[in-house]
Amino acid sequence: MISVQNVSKFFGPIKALQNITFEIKRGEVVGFLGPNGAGKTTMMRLITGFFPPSEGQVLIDGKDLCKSKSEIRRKIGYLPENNPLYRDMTAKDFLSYVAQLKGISFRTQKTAIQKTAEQCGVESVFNRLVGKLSKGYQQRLGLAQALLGDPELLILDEPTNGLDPKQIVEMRNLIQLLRHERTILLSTHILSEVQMTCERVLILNEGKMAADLELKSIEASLEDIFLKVVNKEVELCQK
Amino acid sequence: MSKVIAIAARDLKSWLHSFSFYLLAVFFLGVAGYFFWSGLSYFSLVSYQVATNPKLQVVSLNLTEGVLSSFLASLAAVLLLLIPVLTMRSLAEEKSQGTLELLFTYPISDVQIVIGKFLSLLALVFLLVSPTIAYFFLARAVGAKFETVSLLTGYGGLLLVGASFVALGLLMSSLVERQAVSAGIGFAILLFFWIVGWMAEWTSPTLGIVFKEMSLVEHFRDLGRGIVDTKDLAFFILFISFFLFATLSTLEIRTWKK
Repeated sequence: MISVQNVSKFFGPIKALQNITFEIKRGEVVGFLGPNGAGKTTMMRLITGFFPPSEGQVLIDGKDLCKSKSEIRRKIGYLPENNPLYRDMTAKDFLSYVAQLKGISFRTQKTAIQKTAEQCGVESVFNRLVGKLSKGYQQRLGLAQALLGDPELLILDEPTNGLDPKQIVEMRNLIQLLRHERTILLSTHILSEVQMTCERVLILNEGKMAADLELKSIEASLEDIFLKVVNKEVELCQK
Repeated sequence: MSKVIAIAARDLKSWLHSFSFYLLAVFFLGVAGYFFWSGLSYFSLVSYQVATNPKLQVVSLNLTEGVLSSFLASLAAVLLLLIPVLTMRSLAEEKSQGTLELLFTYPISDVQIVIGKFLSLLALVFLLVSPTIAYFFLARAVGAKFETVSLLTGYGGLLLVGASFVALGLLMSSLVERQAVSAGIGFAILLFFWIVGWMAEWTSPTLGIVFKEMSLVEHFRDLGRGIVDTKDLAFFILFISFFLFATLSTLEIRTWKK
């Protein structure tokens, strides 16, 4: 579903990503790991079409993101790192606004919003202002906006960021529920989350792909592998 | 088009739910009311003096020249002060809250975002300005009958000036993340385009013509008097298009490859 081919991204003299290549098959749930500043968010933004790569190509279902932006963006649901939301809107108005921007037809909008709200458990706070919601509900709402329009590909950038342990478990369970229907790329710092949710893990370090592993095939703990990879003791780029 | 309307409606609703808009509206309508009252009173005084002094009867007096054009010019000057305050939030707030990232990843184009933002601000300007038409109905009640065509042309011109201010303010909002700074710089540049025509008298004739042609006041003057000149319309349309295009370009900087 996603094919990243020799992708590099430069911001002036800064090389944020260098020569990254990987593929993600339809239905796979892939964890994206790496220390802060490794280039995870940049890679996710490239896949969502936020900006184009400086070199290389990102293909979604064989189509170049730069050439058929609108068509591909309909297939993608994205939850950015800091979960940006319109705090002065009610949850219902916010979802309705997102539905309009995603081009969901007026007739099906109500059903789509209802379905997504139920899935994410935000129907009880529908009429409350987003800015007044707890962090947990805000995160659920962020996930709901990503899920609207039933995208085939979900890109979640640190979805449990700032949540308390109970909320983390709830969010993890929610992602588990979604995995059966979609391809998911999940970035996180919580290694146990990746172990519980994902089948495969990609580790980025200093803008380079440092490891691409099937979790089933790992014998050592993910933590050991992660530390060795980021300390450059080993290089595990083959799956 | 429905996505453009959705963006415009969201922003408009957000402003209409905020206290600051009503504060601005009260200020604007209060100041506008004072300008109208003082303009009409002065006109009435001058008319009386002309009517009672035969030596002055060579002077031609009419309400469009005497009241409408100066009133609309004063409103434009107040809008010059207020519109940067309205535009400063537009893109700067989306940037600082991170919601612009969401918009950039939805199936909408940057053009739709810019036009949606522009329309919402234009609607706000319309909401601010349109109640002042009531003053002319009140004046009619006391016998001051303004020409409808001049009134419509004048208000059309005022909206064009407002749209020009909005387009420039939107560019500032896309460039500067800090809202107060965006409003300050926007005001300074608008002021330059407002008064640049005055400098024409102190420079060489060639440069003077350039300065005059750049001035928003010069192009608004005739419209404010109810006279439509295609040259003025073309100036405003070009001015608005240029700054909207510049706003679009600043949003598209992120799509540059290096």
